[in-house]
Amino acid sequence: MSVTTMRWFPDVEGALRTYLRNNAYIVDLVDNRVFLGMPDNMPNTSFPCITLAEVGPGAVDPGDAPLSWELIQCDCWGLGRNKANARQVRDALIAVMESMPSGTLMDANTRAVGARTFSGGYAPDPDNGQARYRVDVYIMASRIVTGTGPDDVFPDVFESVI
Amino acid sequence: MSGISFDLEALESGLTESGAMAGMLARGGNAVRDRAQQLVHVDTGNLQSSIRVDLLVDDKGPYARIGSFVPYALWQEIGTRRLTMGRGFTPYLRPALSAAGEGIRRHLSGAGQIPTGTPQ
Repeated sequence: MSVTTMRWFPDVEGALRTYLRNNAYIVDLVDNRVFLGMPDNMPNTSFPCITLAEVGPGAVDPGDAPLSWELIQCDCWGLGRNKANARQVRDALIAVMESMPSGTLMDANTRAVGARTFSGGYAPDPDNGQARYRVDVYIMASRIVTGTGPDDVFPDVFESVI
Repeated sequence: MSGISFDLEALESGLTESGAMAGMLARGGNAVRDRAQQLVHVDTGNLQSSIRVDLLVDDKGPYARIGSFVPYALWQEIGTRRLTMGRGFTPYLRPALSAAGEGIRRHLSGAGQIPTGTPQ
């Protein structure tokens, strides 16, 4: 018999999408068009929007409350070649992320510890010139701990007997 | 560099010996380059073999520049509307920098070795 401890790390990319889709400043500019990657056959009328891509986990801290430190590329797409429109979305994204307090619930399962943004500059699409600003966001987050019972103290860390 | 590159600065190393600094920058830059060459999507091998390290100096001090002159190097790193993740959009420089970063910091502080391509 052996005991295996499972530690669940947060889905930071998905949590960021949820957080942005529920932020009034972002919704005001892009409605709920925050996607995990560009949807197939995205109509040209469905812009501006934000697409997210996990560039890679920077590091993890596998303690009792596992932390994930991830780099997520956020592309702020404008309507057509409207650079000012894309810049509006970029500015809002940076403002929202830089002002996110530590401890913010990004979604039901993810608590942000901190975030930093790095503007990657203007990078219009090489095929059609569509306006895009790239922002790299580093986010440290943990999977949320819920419940009050003794078995629920760390529901994200459980043991199974094999 | 017309493709894409990242700069690795040595300002925080606290080193004063320019030769030692250049050596450590070269080793750090080579570690990032090696990791990037492992991560990059390979079709013809042109981009993979083009990733290079240049040791340069500006008014802030010495630094290593890691990148590629290949024109599509940027688009493979950051994607396009058509090149989505896994379909041509395959970041390789930023993950390499991230993976090697901790080892470089340890090495510059004299506490460890630079990783040479160990996946995280």
